[in-house]
Amino acid sequence: MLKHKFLLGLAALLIPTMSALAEEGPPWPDKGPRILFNTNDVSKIPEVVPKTFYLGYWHSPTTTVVYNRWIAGPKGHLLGDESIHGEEYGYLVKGRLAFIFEESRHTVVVDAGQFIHWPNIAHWGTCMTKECVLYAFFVPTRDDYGPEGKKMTSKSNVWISAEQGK
Amino acid sequence: MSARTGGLLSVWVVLILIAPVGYAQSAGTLESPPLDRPEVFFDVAKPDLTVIVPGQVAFRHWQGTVSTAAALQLTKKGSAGHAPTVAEQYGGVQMHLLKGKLRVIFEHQELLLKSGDVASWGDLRHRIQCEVKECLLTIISNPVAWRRLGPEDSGPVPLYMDPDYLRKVGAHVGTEKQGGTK
Repeated sequence: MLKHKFLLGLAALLIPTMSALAEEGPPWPDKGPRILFNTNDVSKIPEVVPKTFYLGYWHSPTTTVVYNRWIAGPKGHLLGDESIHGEEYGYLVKGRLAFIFEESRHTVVVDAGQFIHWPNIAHWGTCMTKECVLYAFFVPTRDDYGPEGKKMTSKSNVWISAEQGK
Repeated sequence: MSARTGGLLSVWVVLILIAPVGYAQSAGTLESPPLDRPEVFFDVAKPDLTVIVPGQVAFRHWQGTVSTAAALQLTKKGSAGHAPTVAEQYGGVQMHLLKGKLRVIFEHQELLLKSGDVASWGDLRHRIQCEVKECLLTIISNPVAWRRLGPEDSGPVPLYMDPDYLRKVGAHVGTEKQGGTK
């Protein structure tokens, strides 16, 4: 009887802990101090949508760093869905970008050289110039991207999935 | 139910109730300010940082909900050179060097950043050293470096700066700024 109650108690303690870990996503390894990329060099950003959208990403155990580039195609820029994925910072390296926060009715236009922050609120954005280059930082990690080095597809980026599915 | 089994069950119940509270507190979110809107923190064309030591050190920080951002400008001042730096450890770091050349010194490793480099590391003790006349960098730290820097208007000792040196040159930081004891 005592043994059963002990096991029951142990399960009650472990199940919430395990489910909390599962909710936090995969444990990306700590790769130690490293230089990820250089914001003056866009040549190494992997192409996701041909000649239109480029994205590189790097995970730490708790954060994801992203380097994005948009180039307007014949039909304009790739548009994404409104999304919400944690606290975010962005440093616009090139161009002019509008971020739209519909719930709080804010639109923020960011120019090259500006550093913007927002908490965990829904937003979408659109490049207002021919080309935009953005360094972004997310807390928590962008687990939807998958492991570092994996080629991004329409299914591994929730922001572009709807547009690409059309 | 015996008194012994009842006691064991009580211990489990208490543990189950306490564990999530302890986890939330360790995440460092309870003291974070409520934020609900976007904000442009910084413009590299006109940084608008707080001058800590005229001609040598300028700094500013912003508190997010689960992270902290900061910008630091280091300038070599004549024969005095750069203001001395000290080692810091305040959480995971993403550093973007906007201008200059910067050495980041860890216990067993060094990174030499050039203008435009974005670097990342975990919760490690490290020191920085500007290798040219001027360095301008942004820092994002996770979890929130609230205890190290305090509220945005508190005038903390800037990250990496030697507090003894700042006192010696009469910099307006921390309690000196608020108490007016300088």
